[in-house]
Amino acid sequence: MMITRSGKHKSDGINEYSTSPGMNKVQFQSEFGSCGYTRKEPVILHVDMDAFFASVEQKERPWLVGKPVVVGGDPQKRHGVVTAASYAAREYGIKAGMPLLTAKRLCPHAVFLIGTYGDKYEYMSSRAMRIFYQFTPQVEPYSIDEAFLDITGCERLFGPPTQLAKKLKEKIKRQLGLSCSVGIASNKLLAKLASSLNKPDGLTLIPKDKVKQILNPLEVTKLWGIGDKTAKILSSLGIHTLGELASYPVEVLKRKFGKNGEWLHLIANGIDYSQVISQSITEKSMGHERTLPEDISDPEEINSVLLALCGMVARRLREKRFVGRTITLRVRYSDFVSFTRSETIAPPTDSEHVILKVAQTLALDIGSGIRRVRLLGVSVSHLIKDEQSQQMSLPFVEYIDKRKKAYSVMDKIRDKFGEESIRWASAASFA
Amino acid sequence: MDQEINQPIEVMVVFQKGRMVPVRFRWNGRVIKVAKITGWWRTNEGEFRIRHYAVIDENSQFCQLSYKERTTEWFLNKIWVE
Repeated sequence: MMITRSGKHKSDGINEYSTSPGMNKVQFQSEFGSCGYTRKEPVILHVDMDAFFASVEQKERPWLVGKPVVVGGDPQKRHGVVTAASYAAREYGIKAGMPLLTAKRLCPHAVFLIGTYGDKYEYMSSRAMRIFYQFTPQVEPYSIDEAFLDITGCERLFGPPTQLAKKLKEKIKRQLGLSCSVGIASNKLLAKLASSLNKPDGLTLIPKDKVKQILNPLEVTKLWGIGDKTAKILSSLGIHTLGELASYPVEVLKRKFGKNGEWLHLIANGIDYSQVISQSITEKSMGHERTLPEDISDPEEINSVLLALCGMVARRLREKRFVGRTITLRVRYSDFVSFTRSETIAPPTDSEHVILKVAQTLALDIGSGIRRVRLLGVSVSHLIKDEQSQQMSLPFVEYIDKRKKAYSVMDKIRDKFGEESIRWASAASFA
Repeated sequence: MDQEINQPIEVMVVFQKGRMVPVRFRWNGRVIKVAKITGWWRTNEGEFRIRHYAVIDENSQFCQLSYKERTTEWFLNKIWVE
């Protein structure tokens, strides 16, 4: 039996609550089985690329490896927020989402780089995802740098889960030059927790019979889904650790949190029934937002920005053959006060002009045109596949958009010559 | 820090194992030898590809190059300045 609970990194690179490398199939059956898992039970991997954006930049600029590196927006375009920080930068308290000015104050000697979004990182992410698919078809990309893999039944091809995870990590390292942390457990919740326990370059297994032991002493915020607000309410109930939450009367939690009370009780006990599902099924919303080069209040200017944003959203919807019913507008004013408003329409749409019409109404509702606007965002949610909407909209022929032909032609031109090749004359020309 | 350049350049490439690899380029009348490719990725401009290369030259200078398939042009996009 080689499962350890030392809490220290072992020399073979596999961490706490893990099996050792190089074991054979019989050993796996006895060891993994003795953790409470059987071959038929789900085995879920969570892969988290370590400080992804910063690591990509460090790989290209090898002299930055080990140094504090901060990737952020372009201050000249007023995108002044940290999007990623290397581990050396994190030691100074720099975190994603922090204003760049604060990051500069915390670590003046850090290297600040402007991220190249929408191309390089997405490309590197897609290469990582392709590697994941070499191990299992059950891959759920969770974000640009994270994915869940259902590897149940893959041991015949790749050996025990820890061996598979080691092979995956090696492949990522060899082909992309990047490191990742992998968590292995019986569900997504625990796998995500496991990957966060030994970052960077970690490989952590949570055996089924050690779930309580591992979870109980942890702070509630360690668990996926419990944010600062929930933690604050839990703290007012005297609950600080997952062990305290797990043993708290579920009825009291239900009274305090409604339906979520029962869910909190379940996750504190390491129970999660969610499945690993493929990306196409998990599309829930599509949106775009932009911090404007300068604050604006002229309604015409606002409308032209909105049209450009709605065009980008609608194009993505059409590309992926989705239509959506709920349109959400996000506005941030020059004083950094933000508002979000939504409206649900029928039938669902993929037309930028329908989305724009709703966004304009929402913009009037929240008083844009009077106050100076710093950021605008438009998103569409409640998505369904376009084929379903065709059936739904048949009785509503009057709603069929006359511009559909124009959209189709514009999409074809963009497909051939790029996104910037054509735009509505009234749309703003911003990158 | 990175400095944006975005100027057209002349590039000598070799085709190796199915890949196009820049080996030297001329910028501002100076010939610069590529010592190492530290990163590469692709983006799309419509149906045409743009190939991007992060390289270190013989003087350990970092440069970012791109090749537009549509116009068969090379660009020096960024260099590193202390």
